[in-house]
Amino acid sequence: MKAKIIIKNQDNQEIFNGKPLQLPINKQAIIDKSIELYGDPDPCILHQSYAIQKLVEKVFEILPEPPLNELSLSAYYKKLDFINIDNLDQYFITIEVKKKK
Amino acid sequence: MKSIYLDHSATTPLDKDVYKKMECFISTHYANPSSLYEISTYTKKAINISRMKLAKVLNCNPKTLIFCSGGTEASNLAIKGYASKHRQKRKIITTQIEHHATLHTCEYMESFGYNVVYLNVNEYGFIDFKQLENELTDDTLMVSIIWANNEIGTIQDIKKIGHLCRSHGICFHVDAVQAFGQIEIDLEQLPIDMMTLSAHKFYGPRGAGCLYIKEGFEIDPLIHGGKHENYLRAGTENTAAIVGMAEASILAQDRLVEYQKKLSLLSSAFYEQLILKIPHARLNGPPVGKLRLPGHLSFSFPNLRGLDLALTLDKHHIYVSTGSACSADELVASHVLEAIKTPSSHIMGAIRITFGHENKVEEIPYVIEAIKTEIEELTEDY
Repeated sequence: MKAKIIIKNQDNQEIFNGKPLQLPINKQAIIDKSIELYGDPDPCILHQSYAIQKLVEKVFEILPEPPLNELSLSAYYKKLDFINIDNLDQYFITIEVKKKK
Repeated sequence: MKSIYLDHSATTPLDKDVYKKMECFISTHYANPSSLYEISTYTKKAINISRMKLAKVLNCNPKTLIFCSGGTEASNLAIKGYASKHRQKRKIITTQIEHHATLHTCEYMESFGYNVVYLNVNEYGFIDFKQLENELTDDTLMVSIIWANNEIGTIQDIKKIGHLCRSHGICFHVDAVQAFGQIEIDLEQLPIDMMTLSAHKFYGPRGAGCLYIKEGFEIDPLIHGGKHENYLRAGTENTAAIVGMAEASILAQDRLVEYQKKLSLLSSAFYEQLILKIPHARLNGPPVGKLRLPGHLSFSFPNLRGLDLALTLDKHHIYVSTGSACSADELVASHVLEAIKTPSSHIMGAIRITFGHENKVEEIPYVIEAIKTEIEELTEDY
C-alpha cells in the first residue's frame, strides 16, 4: 500500500509529512521491539530497521483503515506512544492512500 | 499466506531424510564417542562412517577431513593453523571479495605483521591472474580464495588458480561453502590443498563444517584439548551434526545435476521476467550462465536502499537478503559491491535472491510483482 501520512496541529501546521517508514520512532520503543523480536537490547542498524518496520505496521493496526482525513489522535495517542512526536493527543492525522495503477 | 524463501545462500532448510538419520544421535545415542563402553561405539562408529561417506563424495582420503563447527571455523583453522605451523613465510594472498570468515581472519593476521595482498577483481568479480602470478613470491605462505562468491555468485577458475599455486609450491586454500552442492567437486582431480565446507548450505544441519587438508600439508590446531579430530580440533564431537553433514553431502551429490538444472531454470526465468518488468535493475556479478552459481541472483536498483526493499518484501512473506552490512551502527555498502565498482547510485540498493529445492517457477511472477510494487512505493514521490 502506497501511503502518505500528514500530522497537523490545531493551527493546521504540519508536524509531519512523509511516508510511513519516515515516521519518527522513539529509540526506547525500537529497543523494546528489538527485545521482543530478537531478545536483543542492543540491536544493530539492520535489526533496528526491522523493528521500525514492525512498529510502523502497528500504526496501521491501531488506527482505522485508511484513507483517513484529519482524524483526531486523542483516542489513539496512548497506543501510539512509540511515535516520537510530543503532544500527539492534540494532533490530527491524515493518511492518503494511492490506489494501484 | 504462503511464504517464499529466497535466501538459500544464507542457509538451507534441513532435509527431512537427513534429520531422520541425525535423530537418534540427538536422543538415544548420546554417548561420548571417546568413552570406552558399548554405547560409545555407536557414536564413534557413526563419526568414522560419516567421515568415510563425505570422503567418498569428495573423492579424498577420510583422514584428510577435520570436522568442526562450520565454514567460519574451518577457514579460520586453515589460515591461522597453516600460518602457525609455517612461521617463516609472512605473505597471504586473498581477494577483495572474500566472505568475512576469510577477510576478517586475514585482517587479524595483519595485526601480527603478516602482509596480506587483496587481489583486485573485475566488474564481474573475477580475479586478475597476472596480479596473482606477480604476487606469488618466495615469502608467500598461502593463497586463500572463495570458489563461488556468496554475494554475487562469481565462480572463480579454481583449477587455474590451483595449478598456478602448485607451480610455485604455495599452499592453496579454497572456501567452497557456496560451491559444494552446486558445483561438482573431485578433490583427486583438483589442485586444492585445503578446502572449507559448511553443512547448512546444502540442506545439512547448522553447526557442522569441515576442513579438508591434503596429505602432506600440516597445520596447528586453533582449539587445544583432547585428541579429537586427529589432534586438530579438540572438543567432544557433535555426532548428530557430523552424521547430518555426511548424509546431506550424499544427497547433494546424488541430486547435483538435477539441482543445477532446476536452479539454472529458476534463475534464467527470474532474470528474464524481472528485466522485462524492471528494466533499470542491474545484475551484480557475472551474467546468468556457467560462470555464475546456478541459483544465485543479485540485483541493484537505483536510488533506494536494498535494506528497505528487503524489509517491505518481508511483509509479503518473501524472504530475500540485502546487500548491505552494518558497521558501527550505520548502514554501509557491501565490500563485494565496492570491489566490483558498483555505481554509487546502485551500491546501497542491492538485494540477493538465491533459489533452492522448494522454489517453483510459478512463484516468480508474484515475487517480481511484489518487488516492482515496493520499488515504486520506495522511490516514487507520493
